[in-house]
Amino acid sequence: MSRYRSGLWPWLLQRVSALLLLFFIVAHLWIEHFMHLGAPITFHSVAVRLLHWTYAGIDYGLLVVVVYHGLNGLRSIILDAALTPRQVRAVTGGLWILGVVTVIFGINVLSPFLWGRPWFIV
Amino acid sequence: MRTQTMQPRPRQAKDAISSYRTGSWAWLLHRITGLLILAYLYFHLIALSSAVWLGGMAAFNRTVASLTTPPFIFADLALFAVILYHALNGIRLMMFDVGWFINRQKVVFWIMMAIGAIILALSSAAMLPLAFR
Ligand code: HEM
Repeated sequence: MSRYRSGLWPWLLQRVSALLLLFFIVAHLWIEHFMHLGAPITFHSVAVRLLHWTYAGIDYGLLVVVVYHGLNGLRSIILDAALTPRQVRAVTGGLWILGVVTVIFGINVLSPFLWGRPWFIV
Repeated sequence: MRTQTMQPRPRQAKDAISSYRTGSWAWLLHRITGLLILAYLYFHLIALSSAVWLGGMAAFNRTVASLTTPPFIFADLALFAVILYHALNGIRLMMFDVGWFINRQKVVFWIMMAIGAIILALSSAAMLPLAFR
């Protein structure tokens, strides 16, 4: 079974991230969507809401945890194929790069709303 | 010299395929829904960022307006159903990991699906009026 191939730590962290996701997804959907259901969504309304740290905090937390959980899940699916240890390392490394890039990209999705510029560094 | 007894059997491609024959539809669906949500994550990030990055505030407002039309409200509900399945079945899997209800796996599955159906019905009742207003 996939869980034993992925290694003990990835297996455990998949469960830990799943529990964190339960919290973040419920918070994201409830606080950010259902509580304002029907209210028009505009650039302005999003920027105003993000001034409250709960919104940005939930979104950034969800981003990091969902990227770990999703890509770690994808890794355990890939590892169901017959791979050499070298290929396993390549898959793990590739997914880590993809994950870091996704998180940096995701942080900057909110940058225009928070700082008025597309990237938080420039 | 290598001893045969302690050597694990080398992994083969058919191991992956044979696991599909266990008849575990719940597991297969868990995998498919996980991949669907991962694909949605990238759609979500790219759709939201590209509008405002490329076209500014007005483009963002136009994109959001088109994403809140009836077809996308139905799509949101479908996505919600997919997430509900994955989350509730995930809770079920983790209960077995810590040894709860190991002998009641099917019952727990249908209890979870009933909970999911109730949550989906309530959220549809809240969201569908938006599609028909
Ligand atoms: C809402 C809370 C969630 C819970 C409780 C949850 C639970 C779980 C659990 C327990 C597993 C491990 C299954 C196993 O090893 O047998 C898993 C696997 C997985 N999850 Fe989630 N998950 C959640 C959300 C998500 C999200 C948002 C995504 C997508 C980004 C996702 C993608 C995946 C993938 C791709 C797998 C691997 C499936 C496989 O190995 O067959 N999950 N999930």
